[in-house]
Amino acid sequence: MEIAYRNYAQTVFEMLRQICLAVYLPAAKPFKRMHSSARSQTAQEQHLREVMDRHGNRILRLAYSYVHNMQDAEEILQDTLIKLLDSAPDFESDEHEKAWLIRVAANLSKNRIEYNKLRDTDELNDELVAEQREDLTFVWEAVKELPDNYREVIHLFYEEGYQTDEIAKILGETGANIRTRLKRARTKLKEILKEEYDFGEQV
Amino acid sequence: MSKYNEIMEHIELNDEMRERIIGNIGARQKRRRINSAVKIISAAAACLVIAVGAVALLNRDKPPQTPDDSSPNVAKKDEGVIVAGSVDSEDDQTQYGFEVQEYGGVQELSDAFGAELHDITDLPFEVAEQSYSVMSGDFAEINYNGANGEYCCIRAGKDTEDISGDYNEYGTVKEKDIDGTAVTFKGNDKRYYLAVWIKDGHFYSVSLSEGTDEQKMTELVHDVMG
Repeated sequence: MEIAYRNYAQTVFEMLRQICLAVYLPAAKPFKRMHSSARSQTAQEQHLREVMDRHGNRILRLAYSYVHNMQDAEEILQDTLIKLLDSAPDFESDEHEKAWLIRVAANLSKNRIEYNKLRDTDELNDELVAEQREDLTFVWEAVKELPDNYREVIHLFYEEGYQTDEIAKILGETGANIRTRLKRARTKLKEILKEEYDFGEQV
Repeated sequence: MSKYNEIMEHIELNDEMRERIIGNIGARQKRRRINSAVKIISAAAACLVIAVGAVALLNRDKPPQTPDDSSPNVAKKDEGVIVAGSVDSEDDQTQYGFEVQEYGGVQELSDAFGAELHDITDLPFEVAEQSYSVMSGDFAEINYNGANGEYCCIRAGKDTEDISGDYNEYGTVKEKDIDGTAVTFKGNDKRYYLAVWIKDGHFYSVSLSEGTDEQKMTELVHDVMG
């Protein structure tokens, strides 16, 4: 009887172990995910609102500079916030948080360009046309013509005011590489824009 | 202000978008919580059924039992020796837990587990931390974590059972020969998230949180194979 009990107990243990492993296995990152679920829904919502107040426009504009339509840009902002909740990084400062969000949004934007068909609308262009701002329309069209990796440098340099070495850190590249791309982007814009060109030459 | 800044000022996050994003993220979190709860309840229900079944079996008409010396699971009481598999053994009690044994590097992990693994040298993201472990003695795992939440997980099983942990349904499943081994790639729209193969009686998997193209996944598998 004792031996039978042992065999049964071992079988039960083994089956329980298999079940628990089956539950455990799908979650390759079970511990990190606890951050977002542990936060109460109200606190989480408040946190998201604060982040959007501080960085919402910034992320939306960066995403728009890559994808050129509002719906994709909004989804990238949403995905960036989801990454923030899932990863729950410890930021040393506001500047650290800003750089992290920009890096994540840039990566999400590039993934979307590479693997998804983007929506074929450009609400910004429509708005500029409706306002009869031909000068701005001309500049926007010229910036859109730039390759993606030139455009991201132009945006981070002129819109976010980052220096080339800071851009290099955010994008994980060398400063020399960023300076080369900035220079080439300016040359290209100068060729297209001529008298409308107003991209300062400081580095 | 440059014209570019003036252009960008036209893009604004409005209240409607804000509420839509909050709503979408809230709904997503809720779905995840429900899924987790369903998993836990299912596991608990299964455990209960098994436990009840086991008790019922034990309380059946008791068949005559004689010690079977040929069984490796039976402790030989007379000899006073505890044989592997005996539930009397304290060490073997922990065998049924979920202990994680950490190792310092890939060679140490391979030697301890008995399956050949190699580090990936060029991942599609910058690695912030990595770990080498054996989970419950069942499978070896190497984790590479990126600063932005990306990760790559390599697993090797002690036999040919699928221990990848990725049970997603993928639209694209492709088989490819890499160094004479049939490797199955799984992903969507030419972006692959999982590669699995069997070699020398061990199951292997490479999974990537963000996925990658076929060429890169081939390189990663090649790295792991060594």
